[in-house]
Amino acid sequence: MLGRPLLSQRVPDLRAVIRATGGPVRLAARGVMTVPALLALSSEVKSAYFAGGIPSYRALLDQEEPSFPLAYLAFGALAGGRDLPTDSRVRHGREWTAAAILG
Amino acid sequence: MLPDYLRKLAAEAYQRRLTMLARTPLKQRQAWARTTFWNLAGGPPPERTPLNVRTTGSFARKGYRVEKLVYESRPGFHIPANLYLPEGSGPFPGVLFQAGHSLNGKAASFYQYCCQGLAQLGFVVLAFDPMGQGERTYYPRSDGGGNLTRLDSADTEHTLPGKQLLLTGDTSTRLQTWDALRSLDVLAAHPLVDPKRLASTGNSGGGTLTMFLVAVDDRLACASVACGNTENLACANYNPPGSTDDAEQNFLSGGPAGFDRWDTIWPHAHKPLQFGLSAKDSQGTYSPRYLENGREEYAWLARVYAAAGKAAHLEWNELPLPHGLGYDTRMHIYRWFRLHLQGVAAPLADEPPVMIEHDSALYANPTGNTVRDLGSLTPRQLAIARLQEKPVIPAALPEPPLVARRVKLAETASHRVRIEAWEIESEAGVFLPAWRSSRATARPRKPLCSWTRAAATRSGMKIRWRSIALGGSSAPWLRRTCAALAICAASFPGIIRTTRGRTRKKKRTRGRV
Repeated sequence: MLGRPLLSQRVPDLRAVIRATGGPVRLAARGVMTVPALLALSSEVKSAYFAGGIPSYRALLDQEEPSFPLAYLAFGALAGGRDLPTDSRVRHGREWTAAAILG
Repeated sequence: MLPDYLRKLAAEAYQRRLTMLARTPLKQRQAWARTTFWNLAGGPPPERTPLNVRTTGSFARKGYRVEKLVYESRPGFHIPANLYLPEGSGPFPGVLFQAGHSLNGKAASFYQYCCQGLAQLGFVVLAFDPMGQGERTYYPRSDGGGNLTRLDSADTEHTLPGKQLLLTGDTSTRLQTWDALRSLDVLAAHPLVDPKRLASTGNSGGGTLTMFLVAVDDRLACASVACGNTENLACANYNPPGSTDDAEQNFLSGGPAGFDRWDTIWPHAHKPLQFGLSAKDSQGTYSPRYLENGREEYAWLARVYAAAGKAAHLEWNELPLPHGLGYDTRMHIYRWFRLHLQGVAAPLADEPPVMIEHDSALYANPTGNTVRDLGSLTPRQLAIARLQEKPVIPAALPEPPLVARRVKLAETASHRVRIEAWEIESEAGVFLPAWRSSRATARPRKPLCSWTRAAATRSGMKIRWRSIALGGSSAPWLRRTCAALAICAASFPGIIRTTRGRTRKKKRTRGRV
């Protein structure tokens, strides 16, 4: 409502942590933090491990009663055929593990 | 820190809006408010499609009659309603009654009282079930507990599909305002109604939807808002998270646009408009700033009415009574509509006799559920259909530059693991506490400060961090891991609330910005 969703704060926060470590990192995220982690992937992230998140925003639309906090959703995220970046482009060149995904 | 950050954003939005209020002529502001409402709600309203109004039953009571209607605000999206008709041949003024967040919608006792009272005073009243309530419950119980929701409240009936709509660039605000607008179409077209004397009223969520309807529909000659959300999010002395509320009551990106809830009222100036408030609503229903902000905004509006010589068209009634459409609030509504729609200034001695009808007596459908009885579409299905459209997504604020500066505050060693406490500045003024753990090479120089303990949360990962700091059972796990890797774990604003260099006590934030 004030112009910046909490998700758009989480993503730069996470990017800052990745950069502050000073080198290539293996990124691990669980639960709701898998969403900003997906959006914060950069060349400094050499492998990614996600547990307990969601496979896509579309999966939340396909369920009758999804349970996921508003703070991690983005207005219009599914408009124009877009979704969370879980496709091969972001996986390319990285070790990629998705464990216990909800959905 | 997160609350401080929100205060800063709110202060900027508040100032932006005040500047616009002071500089923009009324006509221009009214046009802007109407357009901006739809833009923020997800885009232009849908096309008007055939309402397919059907009367499914009726019954008579002394002084009035009730017809049960079903119509479609969009093709296949059904609205059940009760039409209260006074005795006589009309034409009568018409009142659209908008229910608050009662589980049984239009059948809630106080809402029935108000509709019955108005009908006996010579008004045609249309009361409809809002999305997620009454006969439009989309998550009905399946355990024989009746038609009402299996979710925890009517609010969740709005908010759950509201999140799904949001993903597609649509909102509950747009959906529910459109339902109200089409309901006004039904009322205005009735042969006993004078289309020049239309009004809307409602309590709580229905009061807020009345505000939204006056924003977009200039057919309304008069309105009364009872216990509505007459509080801006970005207000003076903003107290985070502020007046965040049901899915339909929040304008995403309203702050950058300089648009807030009170802007919905401006298109109605200088027509008769009444506000009824519970002085208790600043202690729970809305935020602690509810009355303070309402009075400030009302004063702006009152100046505009007074300048046009229409001061008597605006009224503000604060009652020290609980939230709801009680007797006194109903009497104010009757008086207001009699004065401005019937030209009757004589005081009303008492409310006409009212009685509670059983919910099922008011059903417009055989079993009281539009999905089960009519195969109605649901808001989730509308959200999926929305993906075929091209919504207008309001621009968010630009992302501030990334700082990514770290400072090591302290370090310690435990179980042959070295732990460093970091503070990472992600953007100017935003600091995250983080812990870096790696294989120990030396004895600790000084103990880790006590906020490691304060930072423990229910998260499994952080409990491990707490455990290592306290010599707990996870120490062997961490020691083995750190033999090969350095691990960095951070706490993010909202999970833990911090100021620079120290950590305050943990506090949950709602994360609805």
